[in-house]
Amino acid sequence: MYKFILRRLIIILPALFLVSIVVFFTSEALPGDPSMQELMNRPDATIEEIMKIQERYNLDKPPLERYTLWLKGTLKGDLGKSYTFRTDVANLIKEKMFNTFFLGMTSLVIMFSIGIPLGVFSAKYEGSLFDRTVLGYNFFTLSVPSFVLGILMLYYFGYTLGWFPTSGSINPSVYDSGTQIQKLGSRIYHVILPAFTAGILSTTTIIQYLRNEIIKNKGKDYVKTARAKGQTENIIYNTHILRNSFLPISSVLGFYITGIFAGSVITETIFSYPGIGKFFLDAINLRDTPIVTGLVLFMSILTLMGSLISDILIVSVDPRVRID
Amino acid sequence: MSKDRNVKVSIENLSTAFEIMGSHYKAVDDVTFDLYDGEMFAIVGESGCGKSALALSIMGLHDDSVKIEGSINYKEKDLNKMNKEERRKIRGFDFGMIFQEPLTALNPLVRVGEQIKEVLSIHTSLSDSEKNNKVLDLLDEVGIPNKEVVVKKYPHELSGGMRQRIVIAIALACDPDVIIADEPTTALDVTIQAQILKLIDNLRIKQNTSTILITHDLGVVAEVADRVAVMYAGQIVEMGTIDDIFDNPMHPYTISLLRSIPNSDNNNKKLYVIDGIVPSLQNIDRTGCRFSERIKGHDDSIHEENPQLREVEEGHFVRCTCYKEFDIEKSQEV
Ligand SMILES: Nc1ncnc2c1ncn2[C@@H]1O[C@H](COP(=O)(O)OP(=O)(O)OP(=O)(O)O)[C@@H](O)[C@H]1O
Ligand code: SF4
Ligand SMILES: [Mg+2]
Repeated sequence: MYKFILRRLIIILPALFLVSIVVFFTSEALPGDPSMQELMNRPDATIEEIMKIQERYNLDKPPLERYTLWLKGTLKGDLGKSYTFRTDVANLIKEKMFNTFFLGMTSLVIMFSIGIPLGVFSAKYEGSLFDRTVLGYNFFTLSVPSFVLGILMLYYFGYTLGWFPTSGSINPSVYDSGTQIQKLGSRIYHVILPAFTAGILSTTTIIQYLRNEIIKNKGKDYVKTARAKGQTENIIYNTHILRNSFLPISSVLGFYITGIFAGSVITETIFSYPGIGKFFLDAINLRDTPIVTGLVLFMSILTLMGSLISDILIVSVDPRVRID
Repeated sequence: MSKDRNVKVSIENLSTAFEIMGSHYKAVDDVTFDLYDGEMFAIVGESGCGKSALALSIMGLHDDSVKIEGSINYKEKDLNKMNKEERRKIRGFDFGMIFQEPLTALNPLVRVGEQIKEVLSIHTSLSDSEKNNKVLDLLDEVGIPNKEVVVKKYPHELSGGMRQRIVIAIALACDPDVIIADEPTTALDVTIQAQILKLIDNLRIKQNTSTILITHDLGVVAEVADRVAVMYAGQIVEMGTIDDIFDNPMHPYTISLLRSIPNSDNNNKKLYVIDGIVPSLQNIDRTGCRFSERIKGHDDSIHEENPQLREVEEGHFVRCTCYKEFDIEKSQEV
């Protein structure tokens, strides 16, 4: 098993290298750089001033050299300086990444804690009123866009009832002087609405997937064998059927983790939640190449990690998948 | 040979009806037979004639939508009248079942040793180590080499033949009185088929387990069975000892089945093919003889409305009115 993980990690290295090349040069291809901005702000800037700015961001060097410099920095955790904020990209995105991660994880937890029971019970009582209600719920979550649900949640639970904060990821005064517990509490309080919005809407796949798997497994021969053994229906359902039905879900878990970041833009924007989703869009609009590059690189690494996690999960839960 | 033997299970007027588009259709229609102590009772018939439906009815494995009538008498009780819980306790303990597909009959995520152990956990109060020992004994019994290694294997790591041995071990685990093997060798290679069949037969002899062997391979029947029932469209059309059936077949269906076995005697001749197909459940004509559509040359004047299963000689039953007059050679010319 360790060998397998190690081998997979080694395979990832060349992939990462390729990703870094693609990411760097596509970001390079984006139009605009800080010297242009400077020019737009101060059309009277001298050539020397422009040159100086270019020098500061290594823009005067040939592309290959810039790539090597960037790669060296990145390996040391230095993603360069933001054009617009003039500070380290790594510092800028650290807090936001954490926020997005926190939001994503919470919505995953919500998704699974709603999706799994609904899927399991709608399959168990296939065709019942409950099953049909869940089907209706699925149509609802599938057809309601996240910005609609988000705005409704925000309006009702945020403004009308006033139960939850309507923006931010943590109370600023708690952030400055609260205890660890208070900080966590405040973060959870702020994350609930956006996490529910994202979580509820992503339950559809998990419910349908699980329900189909369970119904498929119910008719499998090994279930008949278990009945022929005299096994009780409850144990047949809870062990034989469910175990086999959860298998494919655990294998896509890794990709859900990647999806957290990809899908966060809309939710974060509606709830003014300071995550990387909205920040990423802003950075593109501002032509802030170092931030864009840093975030894309980060998301690519996550994608690779997600598939690695999926592979590890498959290997550890499914004995049929061979690791050598 | 049957008179001096004890009846283990007595099946009377058993019918099994599946629900199709709101109505029930009988896939097993009024089946009656006795299963004797320690005998190998074969059930043969074309695909779709209701063999599996019958087996699952005896095991109590159909779901609730399936309507089962008649009685299955075992130890002075009618299994068909039992509640689900009583029935469950009999499965795996008194009645074991061997399925057709060893590839799918085992849970792919559970080690085979555990799957055998599961039966012991359900029906016995053995300690864990006793169960483990029993599992190893069972593997010995079904002829699995390297048992210590095999118990820890997952189904996909074993060959089809080995998996079928595991399925047999599961069926045998609690020393059942009755084993029902539904085409246990169909999915296996020819060489393995013979081994598995021999194994089932040897275990039956050793433990005196009454065995119902379902197959459509008459060669298999000739080899191991004591008695045979030939099924057609949900009914038993002929039943008797192996000698009755092979040496003195009476029902035209049995005769044509026997003629359609490839063997060395008629190597050069064209294989006999029975005209037509088994009608699907909804399309069975339930009045008159069900086989009449597929044979020509019978004399309608001597037909009774619905041919009854009659004992034409001791232990030999036939559901055909004109078996005496019937001549299959002649029928082909017509
Ligand atoms: N669950 C079911 N619902 C409806 N019809 C069924 C069901 N199971 C079996 N049948 C029908 O009942 C009839 C008998 O089926 P059965 O499986 O008992 O045949 P069989 O003799 O075992 O055939 P084979 O040799 O192919 O296994 C067939 O016409 C089949 O289509
Ligand atoms: S009863 Fe008549 S129709 Fe039926 S099998 Fe016998 S001869 Fe054929
Ligand atoms: Mg069958």
